[in-house]
This record gives sequence, structure tokens and C-alpha cells, in this order.
Amino acid sequence: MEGTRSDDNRVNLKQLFLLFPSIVYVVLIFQLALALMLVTAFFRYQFPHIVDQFTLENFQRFFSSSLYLGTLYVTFKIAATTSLLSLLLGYPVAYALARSQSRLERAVLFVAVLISLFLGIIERIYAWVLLLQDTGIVNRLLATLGLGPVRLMYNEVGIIIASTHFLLSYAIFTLMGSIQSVSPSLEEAALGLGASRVRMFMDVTLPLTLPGILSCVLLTFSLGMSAFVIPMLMGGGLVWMLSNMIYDRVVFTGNIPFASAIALILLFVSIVSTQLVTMLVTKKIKVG
Amino acid sequence: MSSRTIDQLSGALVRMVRLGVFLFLMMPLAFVVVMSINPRPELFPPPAITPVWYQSFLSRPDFRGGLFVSVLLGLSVTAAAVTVGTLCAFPLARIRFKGTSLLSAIFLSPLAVPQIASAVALLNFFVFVGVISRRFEVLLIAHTIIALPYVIRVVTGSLIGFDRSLEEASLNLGASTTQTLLRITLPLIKPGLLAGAFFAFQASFSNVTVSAFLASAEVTPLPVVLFSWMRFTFDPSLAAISTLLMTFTTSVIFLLERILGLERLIGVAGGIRSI
Repeated sequence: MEGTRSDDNRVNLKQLFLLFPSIVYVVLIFQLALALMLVTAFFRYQFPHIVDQFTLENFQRFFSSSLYLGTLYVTFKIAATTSLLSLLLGYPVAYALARSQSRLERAVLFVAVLISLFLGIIERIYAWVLLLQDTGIVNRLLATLGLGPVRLMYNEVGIIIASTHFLLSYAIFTLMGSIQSVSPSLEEAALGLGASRVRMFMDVTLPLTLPGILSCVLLTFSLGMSAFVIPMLMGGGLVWMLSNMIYDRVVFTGNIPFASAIALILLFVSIVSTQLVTMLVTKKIKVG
Repeated sequence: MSSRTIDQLSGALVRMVRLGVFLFLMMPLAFVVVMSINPRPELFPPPAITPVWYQSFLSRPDFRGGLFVSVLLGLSVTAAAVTVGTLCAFPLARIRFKGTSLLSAIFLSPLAVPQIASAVALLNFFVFVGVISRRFEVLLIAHTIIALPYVIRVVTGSLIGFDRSLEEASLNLGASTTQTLLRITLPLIKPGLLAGAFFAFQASFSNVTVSAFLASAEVTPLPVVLFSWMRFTFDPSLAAISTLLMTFTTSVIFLLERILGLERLIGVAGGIRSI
């Protein structure tokens, strides 16, 4: 190519116009909508209109009411439990995916985790309803053993089970990446020096995958905090998480300013988690 | 207890957890399939096999209407997101300038924001602009925003691993820029484009949260019809439609595996979802 440097630059600048449609969608609509939501959260709502008056009362109302603080607590509790369960159940699977010698074992686990990653939320919830409802398969099984019935749905247990099912694939892929980045020769060296497998895991693998573990916990926690469909259907109106409160305020009272305030709280949790993950990952790169 | 025994015990425990997780992930889905052909939902295992739940799903006008909206919406979103995302991927992959990483972060931001927050923000925005009554177009824009990051990510990936000397050879042999684009560049990044299209369709077709806020009684995508239906009852025809949806998802995964290969599919899927 005989193109000079300035020709290349001109071509490059012309190419920048190709970004324009994406900028319309992502910046001029999506980011602007987020900015508008931020502003809306500071407006007063008087049925059925948004009043043109700056106020902090949406946030004051949220943080001074036991109803909303209670919901925040329940949301936090469910998300934290789910996140911890996803880590504990996900780690052994992620380890097998990263390290297993058996191609068959890896292939089978990969297919299961991938199906779970792409599975629609409706199908997932219907599956758990069949198992967990009062007349569901689990309770029928318990009945034949002379036990139960146990309430497994319309409470926090049902939400936690379905959310863990939803978040496990995210946890497994995050952990798998972290485990793969640890050189197997480090583990082999520990074994060669006479360490037991448990000792090798505690002294080598676990500390080196700590950033991955923290990323996994933060990611699943923030996704769990903003869960909407699962608590709506598995909670059946008896357990409320923040998202359900948002939906209720929007659909039944049209109070978009208050809904925006709650949505901002969830957005805040998610941004803090993402930032922490970014910091942890960069730190990992510096260390490694 | 010797450390050897502890090793064996913990090894056995780890294998049990693995098997347990596999069953936990897959067993519920198997039950859905079985229940979809079970003539008497109160009995398990099924005493016979029946297609009645599939027929009852297909005979319901609200389900059929929802399916029509979802397919039309999914195809429109795929077309829009693949076009817009591919245009965006070229400069992102090929121009090195300050702020490329900031730009990527901005374009991928719809994935980093919780969907419930995006839903409220977009509803508020469309009401504010005064276009909320055009439900289909509003859903199309919202879904395209959600689908775009997947396309941008996959297509940028294809373009970065692209041997540009092939394009130069084509231009040197006298082909025009358009000919080179159509006959060299696009065919070579076809796997990325196809994968992006599947990701985009799936993102739209399975979306509940954003759709639930933006849909109306006239324009309701299938997952929102099912979502509303499930708030009141868990009719076995839901087992039939769930089985069909799971079959579709699984076929897409196997297709993507054929197109991208397992390692790259996992890289893209895992990487994208964990932003």
C-alpha cells in the first residue's frame, strides 16, 4: 500500500462516523435515560403527575420507613445467601472444568453449565415450581416417606433455590477463568514437595484464586440484589425484594420518581461491585 | 487420620458436590420435559403420554399472539443490533486512539446496569419524550440497546483476529472497497456475525424484565404473557411451551458451538455475561 500517514488518518477519521448509530442507541437514548432517571428521583410525585419541584423526600421516605428498610434487608439477605451458595457449589465444578483430565467429564459439565447460562428465566422458574410447590415432586416424595409437606415456595427458600440455579453458571465461568490463570505447575510443585492435596489447595490454589473468588461473590451478589422475575413468581407476593417494589410503584401508582430512587440504589450497588471487581482484577495482573 | 485419608475423603466430597451440582442444574429441566407429556399432572411418573398440553398451548390466542410478537421483535432486534453493532465494531477494532477502552466501556454499559434499572429508566425516558404509545418501536429500541453489547463484543473479537493483508491483496488486485468488503471482509468474519445474531435474538426473545415494563395489552412478547399467566396459575401447558423454549435454546447453543468452537463460545458467553 502506498498510502501515506495522513491518508491513513483521514481514512481513520472517516471510520469514526461508523460509531454514530451505536452512539445514538447507547449514549443518546440509554445513557440519557439513566441521567433522566437520576434527575427524576429528585422530583416530587403527586398523583397522577410528577411535580416540578426538587426534593430529597423519595430517599428520605426510603431510608426512614421500616417497610422499605425491611425490604432492603430481605433483598440483601437473599442476595448474600445466594452468592455464598453459588461460590461453594460452583468452585468444585469450575475446578473440574479448568483441570479435569477426563474430556468426557469436562464436556458433560460444559454442556450443563452452558445450557443453564442461556436458559430463559420463565422455563427455569416453571421447572422449580413443578419441584417445589406444595403438591410438587419434592413434597410428593416426602409424603411417600411419611414426611412433610414442607413449604418450599412463596418464601425465601424458594427464591434462594431458584436464584442459585440462575447464578451458578455465572459463578462457575468467573471462577473457571481465575483457576485457569493459575499455572498447574505450581500445584504440581506443591504435590512434588510432599504436600497433601488438601494442603496444596489451601496453600496454593485458594490464595491465588482469591481475586476470582471475590469477583464471583460480588458479581452474583449484585445480580441477586436486582433479581426481579424470580422473587415475583417464587415469592408469590409474600416475599418482597426491591425490584418487586419498583414494579409495584410503577404499575399500580405510577410513582416513577420513587421507583427511580429505588432503582438508583440498585444501580449504586451494581456500580460499586463492578468497580471493586475491576480494582481486584487489575491488582491481580500487577501481582501475577 | 493420615493426610492420605483426608485427601481421599475430601476428593470424594468434591466429586459428590460436582455430581450434585450437575443434577441440580439439569434435573429440574428433565422434569419439565416429562410433565409436558404427562396426561395427569397429579401423577408421577406419567401413566401415559399425551400431546394435549402442546395442543392447548397452540390453541390459546394470547400465547399465539405473544409468540408472533416475540418472533417479529426478535428478528427486528437481530437485524438492527447486527447492523449497528458491526458498523461500530470496525473503528473499535481497527483504530488505535486514546479513549478506545473508554468507548468500549460505554458501548458495553447496557450489560453492566441491572435490567430493572434499565427498565425504569427507559420507561421514564419514552414517557418523557412522548413516544410510549408506540409500543413495538419502543420495545425494539430497548431490546436493541440490550443486544448491542453482545454483537459489538463478538464482532470486534472477529475483526481483531483478522489478517488485513487479505484486504490489501484484494485492493491491490483492483477490487473496489465495496467489493473487498462484500467478498473478503464480511465472509471472513461470518462466524462472528452469525454468533452475534444468535446472541442478539436470544437476548430479545428471552427478555422479561425490560419487556414487562414497556409492553402493553396490545403488544405483549411471549415471555411477558407467560410471566403474567404464571402469577395466577401454573397450568401444564406452560410445561409444553417451556419444553419448546428449552429445545430452542439448546439447539442455539449447539449451533454456536459448531460456529465458534467450544473454547471461544465459553470465552464469549462467560466474558460477556460477567461484565
